[in-house]
Amino acid sequence: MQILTKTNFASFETALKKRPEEIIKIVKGSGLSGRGGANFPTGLKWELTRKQRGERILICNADEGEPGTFKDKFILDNNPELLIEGITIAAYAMGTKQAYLYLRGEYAYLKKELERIIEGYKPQLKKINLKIDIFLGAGAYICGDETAIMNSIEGKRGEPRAKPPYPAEKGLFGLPTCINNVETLANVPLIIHGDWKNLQLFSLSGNVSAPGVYEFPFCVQAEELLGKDHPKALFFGCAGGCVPYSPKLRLDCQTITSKEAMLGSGAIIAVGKNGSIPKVCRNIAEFFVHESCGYCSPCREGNYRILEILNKFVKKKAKKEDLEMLKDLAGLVKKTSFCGLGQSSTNHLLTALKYFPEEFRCK
Amino acid sequence: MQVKINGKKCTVDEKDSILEACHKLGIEIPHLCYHPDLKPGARCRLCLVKVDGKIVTSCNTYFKENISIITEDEELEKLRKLNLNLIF
Repeated sequence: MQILTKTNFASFETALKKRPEEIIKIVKGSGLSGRGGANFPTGLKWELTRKQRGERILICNADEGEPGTFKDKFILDNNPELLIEGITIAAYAMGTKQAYLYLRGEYAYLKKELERIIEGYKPQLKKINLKIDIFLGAGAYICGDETAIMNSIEGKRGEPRAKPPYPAEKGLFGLPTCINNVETLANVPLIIHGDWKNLQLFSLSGNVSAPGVYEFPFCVQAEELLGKDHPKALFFGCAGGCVPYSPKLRLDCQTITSKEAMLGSGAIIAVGKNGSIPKVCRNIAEFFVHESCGYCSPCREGNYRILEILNKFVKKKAKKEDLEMLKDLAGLVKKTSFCGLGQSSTNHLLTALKYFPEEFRCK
Repeated sequence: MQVKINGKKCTVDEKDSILEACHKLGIEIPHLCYHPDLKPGARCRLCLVKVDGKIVTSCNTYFKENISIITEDEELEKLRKLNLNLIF
């Protein structure tokens, strides 16, 4: 797998021989875009951050919280040195002296090993005066959001911030900040190394015979990932919504978006032929009720009421008015929530109602 | 600054948020968590308006030259009522 390549910080030495602006140009030209789910062009983000005056900060977002996503864990478990190298090259390109690695609370077992690796590369980090500090999360899904991550590091509640201003302008402690996902940064040394292919890590789980992390180009067809398995539906994590399974379905952002779902961070949860879609939606609603930060009414209250109604559907006690209210609430939460968590928290329901309406039976 | 509100051309102070400017023009937009002494929290989600078709909260959205704002239509009323019902 490309992501398991050991570069031993050789790419950093190569990068040092070039000007930071050149590194940004190389990353822009590669077409690398954010692997945390939002898909923002990475080189452009670095350029926008570098343009700002004053001290610039880099945050590596290792708060992998999307259910069904475990590709960042795969990188942290099997090739953490590649990530540290990626952080270092990114810091060099943006002229950053301070980087934070925001590590998901559930991955606390990795903290000591990561600190040991960072200590081991101290001579290289010293060449660009870079300090990498590890900050532990505490189990909140909302802290994967780039503005909530900054509030968390500042010691505040993990609540999101309004955008604008964008983090590149005014981020951590008010300073220009770039937040990148683990997989995004891990690809950087491979791009500098040369011979890089734009491959995506997919996390496959659910009713499948071979769950795990797979590396494929973006235009992969579903059957290449799932082999002989033929589930009923694919859920793209909890926030990405679902589509009916078809072997020839292309797993790329545009195709999935055209079906009103979101590929996101590449989490693919398969629901088998005997699976109940309302039950899956009920479980997802439970997740969002638990993880909603509570800041705004539609997400906090709306998801709670959606869960109440979905429980009725699971118990086969739902009435026609319940289905209407479900549709209204799902639309409301998507259109009027304060942040990305809320805005995507009902995608599962909107797509389930669109593609599997026959499963939501009323009395 | 010249903008369009509910189809009419208006002049607004660009330092005001859409909510504040509409209030000065006598256009009512429902709101619960806004207070002039506090920074806008935008949490009650009642002050929804449409800016060039996009639904935003008017308490923390500011003007750009020539934008078109709608403060009242069927969809906005439905969303506001639902949010209010969820709160109470």
